[in-house]
Amino acid sequence: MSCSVNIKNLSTSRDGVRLYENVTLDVSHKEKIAIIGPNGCGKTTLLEIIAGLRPLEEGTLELFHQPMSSLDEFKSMRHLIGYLFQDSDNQFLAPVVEDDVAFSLLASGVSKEEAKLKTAMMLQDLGISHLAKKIVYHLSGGEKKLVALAGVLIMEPKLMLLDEPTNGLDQAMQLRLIDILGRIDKSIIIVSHHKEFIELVVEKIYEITPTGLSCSVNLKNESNHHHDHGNHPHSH
Amino acid sequence: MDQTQTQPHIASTTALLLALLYSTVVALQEHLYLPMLLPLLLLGWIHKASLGSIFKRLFLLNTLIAIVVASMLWQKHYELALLVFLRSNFILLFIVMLFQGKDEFSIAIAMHRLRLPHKLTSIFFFTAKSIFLIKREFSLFKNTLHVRGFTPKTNLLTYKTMAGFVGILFIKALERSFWLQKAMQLRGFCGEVYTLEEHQDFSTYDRLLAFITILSLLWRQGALL
Repeated sequence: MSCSVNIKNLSTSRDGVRLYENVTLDVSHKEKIAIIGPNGCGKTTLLEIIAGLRPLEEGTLELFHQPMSSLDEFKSMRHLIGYLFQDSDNQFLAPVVEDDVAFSLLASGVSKEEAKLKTAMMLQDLGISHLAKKIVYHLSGGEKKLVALAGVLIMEPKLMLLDEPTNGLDQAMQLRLIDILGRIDKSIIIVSHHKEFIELVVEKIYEITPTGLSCSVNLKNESNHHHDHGNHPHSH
Repeated sequence: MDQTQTQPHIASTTALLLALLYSTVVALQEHLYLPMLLPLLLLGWIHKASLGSIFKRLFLLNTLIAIVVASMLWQKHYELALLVFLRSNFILLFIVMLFQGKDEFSIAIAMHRLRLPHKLTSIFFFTAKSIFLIKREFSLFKNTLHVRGFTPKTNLLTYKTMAGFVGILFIKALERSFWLQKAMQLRGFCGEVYTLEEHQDFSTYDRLLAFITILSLLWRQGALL
């Protein structure tokens, strides 16, 4: 099976303290996984390493079968990786919603007409067309998250890295996000504390510990179950 | 922009252009003329509902001018002091009223529409963004102090708290700059902020204000000083 991410024996430190060692992870094409773990265990650090924002200390990392040993090698891969930050405010690079969503397209040389069309379609797809002309910093937390997600999705990345996507979202917005992520046909790595949410989105849940990464739940092997009250985040 | 306004509104592009024109001419002209009050009167009428807050801002800005004027009065240059006072207040009042109700982001957009250099526009936008985010951190910290029962006094605890506060703001600003760098890397930033908007729609008020401003600057009758 083709692999989007392949990590072997990865070890990482922060401020001289070893966060984890011997992390091994394979994410197949179009596979959706989640990584959980206590605060400060290095979940975001792991995402940053995969996105090429932080250098690799020990171990190997392959993206789409290409070994990535230095940060420079990520430059040609940027358009294939979409990263949703924990705080959406950090993600915005333009003041107006439609300009921010179209940003990566325009920066990569796509014509204004095409960018406009794709942006309109993306906003419509996420149900936020009414926000197109608004200033991003005046939106609610949930709206900001959807705008940031639109900015990531519009580049049609093959791999999406989502850092605490439900942070500050109410239940209605979480359900909307579950629906959107369910429709996305890409490899997704979610880092979250919100177990009920990730169980509805991903196929596998990994737990990060100082000694490595272990698959704690494989939802692929569990039979699908439905409730009369719908797919609300819940636990058993 | 999202303007569901029911009252007269001046576009940010018009505001930026007229602010530059009016302030340059008023600052560099030898005399002040009565017609220069016309655009101020029009803007005053447009913003009649918020004149209180406009004059409050003007008063605060005048604290700086007061220092300059006081130094001139000290040297007995009475006429020059009056000229400086009037000139700066004409310009300040015009600018305060022009940008009333507009935020820093709409000014960044206006700069982009006016096709100012990309570097200048992006620097302005990222500065505005940083100020906005730091302002939010500031109000969060202020709320924390209130909630935790802090009352500023002239004692060591207050000085230490305030020093810590400034330190936190620096750290937060640094943190934000790291995230901005990451966002730029991930989203392919190459020195330009783009816009999909092709043109700006100008209202009757924009045209009227532009006409009156230009007329007032050309009509050199009734010298005040």
